[in-house]
Amino acid sequence: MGKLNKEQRLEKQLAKKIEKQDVYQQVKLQETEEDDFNVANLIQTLEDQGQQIDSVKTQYLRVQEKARIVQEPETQAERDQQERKVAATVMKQDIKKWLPIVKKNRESERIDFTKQRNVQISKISDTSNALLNNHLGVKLQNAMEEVEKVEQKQELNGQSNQQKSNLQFYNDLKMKKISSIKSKIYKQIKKKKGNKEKLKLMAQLTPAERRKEIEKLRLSRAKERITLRHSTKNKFVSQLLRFGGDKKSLKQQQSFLNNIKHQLLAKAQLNELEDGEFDEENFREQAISQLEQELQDIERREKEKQNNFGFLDKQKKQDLQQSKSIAQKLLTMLKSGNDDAIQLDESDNQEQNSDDNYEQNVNGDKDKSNINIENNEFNGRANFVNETKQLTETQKKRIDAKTSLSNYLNQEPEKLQQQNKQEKQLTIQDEKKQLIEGLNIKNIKQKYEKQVNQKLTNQDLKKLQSDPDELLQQNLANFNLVLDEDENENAFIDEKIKDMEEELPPEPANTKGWGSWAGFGIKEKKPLTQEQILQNKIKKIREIQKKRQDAKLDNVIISEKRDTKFSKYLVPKLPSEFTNSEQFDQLHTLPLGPEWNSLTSHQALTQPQIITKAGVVINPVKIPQQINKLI
Amino acid sequence: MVKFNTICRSGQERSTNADITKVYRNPNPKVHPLAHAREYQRALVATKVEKIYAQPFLGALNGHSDGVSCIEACRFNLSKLVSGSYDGEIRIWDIPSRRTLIQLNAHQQMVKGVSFSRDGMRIVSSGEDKTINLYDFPQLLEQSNNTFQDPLMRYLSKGTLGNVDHNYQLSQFATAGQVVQVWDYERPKPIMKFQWGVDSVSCVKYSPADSNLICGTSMDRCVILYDVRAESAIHKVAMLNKSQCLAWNPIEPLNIVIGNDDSNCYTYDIRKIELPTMIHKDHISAVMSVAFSSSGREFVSGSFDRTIRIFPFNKGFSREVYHGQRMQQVNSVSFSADAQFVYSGSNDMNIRIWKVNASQKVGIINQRETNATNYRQALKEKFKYNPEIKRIAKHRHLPKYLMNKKKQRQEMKESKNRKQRNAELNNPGQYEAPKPEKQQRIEQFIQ
Repeated sequence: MGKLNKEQRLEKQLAKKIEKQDVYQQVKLQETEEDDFNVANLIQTLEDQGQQIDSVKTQYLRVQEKARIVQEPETQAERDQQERKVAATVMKQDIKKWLPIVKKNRESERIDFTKQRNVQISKISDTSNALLNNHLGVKLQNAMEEVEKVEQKQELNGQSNQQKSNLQFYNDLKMKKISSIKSKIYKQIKKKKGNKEKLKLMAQLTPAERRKEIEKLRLSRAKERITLRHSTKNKFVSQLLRFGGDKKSLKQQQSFLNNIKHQLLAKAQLNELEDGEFDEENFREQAISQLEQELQDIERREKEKQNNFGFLDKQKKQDLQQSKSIAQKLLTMLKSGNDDAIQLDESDNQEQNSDDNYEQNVNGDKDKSNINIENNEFNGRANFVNETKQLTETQKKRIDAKTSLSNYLNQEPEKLQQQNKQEKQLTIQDEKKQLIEGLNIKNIKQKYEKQVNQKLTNQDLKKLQSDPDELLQQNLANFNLVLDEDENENAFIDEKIKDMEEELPPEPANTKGWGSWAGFGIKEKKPLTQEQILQNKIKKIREIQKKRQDAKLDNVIISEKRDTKFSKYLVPKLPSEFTNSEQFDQLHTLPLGPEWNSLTSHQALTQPQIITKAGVVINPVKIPQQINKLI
Repeated sequence: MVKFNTICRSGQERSTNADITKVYRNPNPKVHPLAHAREYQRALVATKVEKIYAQPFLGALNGHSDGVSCIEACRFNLSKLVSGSYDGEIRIWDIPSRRTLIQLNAHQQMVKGVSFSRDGMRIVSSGEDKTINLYDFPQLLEQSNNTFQDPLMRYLSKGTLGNVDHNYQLSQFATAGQVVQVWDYERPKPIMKFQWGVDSVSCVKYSPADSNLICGTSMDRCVILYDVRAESAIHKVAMLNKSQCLAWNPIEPLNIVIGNDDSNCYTYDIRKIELPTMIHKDHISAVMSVAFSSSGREFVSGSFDRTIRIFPFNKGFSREVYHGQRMQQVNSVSFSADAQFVYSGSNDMNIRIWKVNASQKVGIINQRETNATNYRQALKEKFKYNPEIKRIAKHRHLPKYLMNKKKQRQEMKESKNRKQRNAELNNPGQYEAPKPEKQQRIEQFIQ
């Protein structure tokens, strides 16, 4: 039966094939001897056999659609250009990996090529926070942050998390299954599907857009060409695929990965708070023991010998006390066993006025604490109110008579100063008015003479008794002026003119025969008279006077001479590296020598920027293995 | 009279030799009003002392019977140096003893380039006779007296050859020439060829950090970047003059320096090769060779003007200039792997060894001495803007021909600027603002 069946099937298949061929032949061509081969003839023949036209049409359309995507043959130049473009993008992407290394090298204070690895020097800004100095503090802070984060998440989406994780798990499973399918047919079907979709999309586009799309496709193909060639045909890669690289490197890799795994596992155990498996007791015990150690350490350090410098000791003491208080606070919190203690600690640190908050919160239950966290914004104001109340009730009693007296005394001089200020302002304004009108020395004289000749009233006398210095200072400035006579004034003016005369350029020495030319048509010049010479001199002096800084100041001589001896120690122009002179000065105030610094700081200050050593080979930069793997 | 020593019990003196004397120091700056003045004086003395002790020339390696065309110091071994000359001879030198280890008649014509492998065990050389020789160093040492040793491998190129550069990681090397070729040890034919344009490439260099990138300078005034992964180049930039040499910064593998025939060096960032990031000026004739220090902070350039100059990588002018009375045109320069010495091969058949820091002491230096030199350097750095110290530190003795040429160039530059300025003043609105100098030197960027 089986044999018969097989034969029957074969016959059937053959029959089908023959039918198809017949149709094909019929549709294909029926050449006539008379006519040439034409499209019109073709169509005619097709029209004669009305049944097959539709199939041909569909065939034709399909080919046309495909032709839209089928790439036109590219010229070699075009192809090269595309490849260059792609290579440039690949190169730029590839080169990015060096940027962090280059940046780090450029920014670092010094690079030591004598060591294999450049050790990063910790900065001052890193150690500014006292809490962060203690490794315990850092640990605690991190733990608290994590706890907070997890709780916030839980509150936000308690249920949706599960759904999400379920969905993700499902998706993962699906992708795994799909990736594990090895059959070629499945992949072919998938490819066809994809192509069909692409065709549909292409059909919708305008020609210009289509061209762009095609170019994109070409570029992606070029990229594929480059990357594929490199990754598969490279000798190194082929060896790696065959032998799996060196055994040593493999072992190193494995050990490195294992380490990371362990670390991650340890972290994960700590972080498994979502399921409520976080063993608080263990954590607390560890924290308490570490805190106690820390306290012992601080006590020991306090007993240590002090330096010779008072201010250093003070600062050290302060730091120690701070850290001690923080540690003690944490200990009490941990030992009391309140769950809220850990949460609230951070907020306390931030606000730095923990006492009031702390008492309220510790007494309260979980609910209360939650409310407090929510109302964190208004805590400050509440504290302020509390403080003022306390002042009125308790602290007022403590105020001594002395403090009240001192307050009273402090207030009085303030009042006096205000009065003086008012008076001063008045006098200055008067002076300004007069100056604008055009004040001479004589006017000033008259004014102050009047002031001096005035008889002192009783009030003034009282003022003098209270603070004689101020009045004296006011009047001393004009004391010389009043006493001066006309002779002195004239002497002053003479001095000023002399100063200007010194600035005059030297006159050329009279050489014999110069200016006494003989010959035809030469006009004789009369020698200048004494008056003319003087007038010329005065002209010149006036010109100089205009340029001087003290041109408008009658009572002042401003010396414009500069001492050039010191100039060699100064920098004439601000170097372009600095924005202002203060910045420049600041950099140069610190002495570097061993006389003014301790030996260690002297050595640190004078270290060169790049340290090389004869005999130590410097290798070109390498990317660390861990990063290289990621890339 | 009987003399007897008094025993002093005051607190200041030491009771025994092992006792440590206490130093009481007041950090308050008001107590030290003369600190700045004293440091200035010390800085001045330090600059002067540096001048006095500046003796950069250490010695010469002589033996070649024709001008030295190319040299390269080993990247792995500090004592090895290989050099090639115009008569096709290759010599391998032992630098501490300053003698030739191996002498080879390698090529029929001029040696175009020599290069060490990363481990220093293989040497590649290319010649004008279109051959590339690969030598095994231990094998050469075995028959060090035989000058006609066969190479481990001989490759024949179809076109003319330029220099050769060994890959830093793989067993491959690249040659310049009519076509840029990448060769493998085990293949008789090049595994990769790059051609873009008609003119030949004069110099190629592998990136020390990335085994895929090659940079080259071509005779048609271009700087071209190649990626071995792609079959064609990446991009090129055409300059006004041809450049003959280039070097990669080994610590910052984004930057290259090229030596141009217009007597300048140019730093390029290969990400944006359209414009140079910096122009390094000071030479007065074509730059024939550049080499980067392995610390990446300095590079050395040898020029046709018979001088060597050391440039900081981020400064426009040179830090140091070396010249010798008998030194002729410098064809090739190289840095030692520990960034302490510079080697130069010149037309006068000699290879010279120079110190990178002219006044540095050679030999063992104890800690106290290093501290003192560090302090002096720091002081000089601190007072470097001071006019007096600046003047002394900047001064270099130069031969007459250099000084005259420098003056002449300065005058030419000034007159050109003056002419331009006058033209602009007399014809307002007709001239555009002049392009920045970096842009002026670039003709075209081709992608």
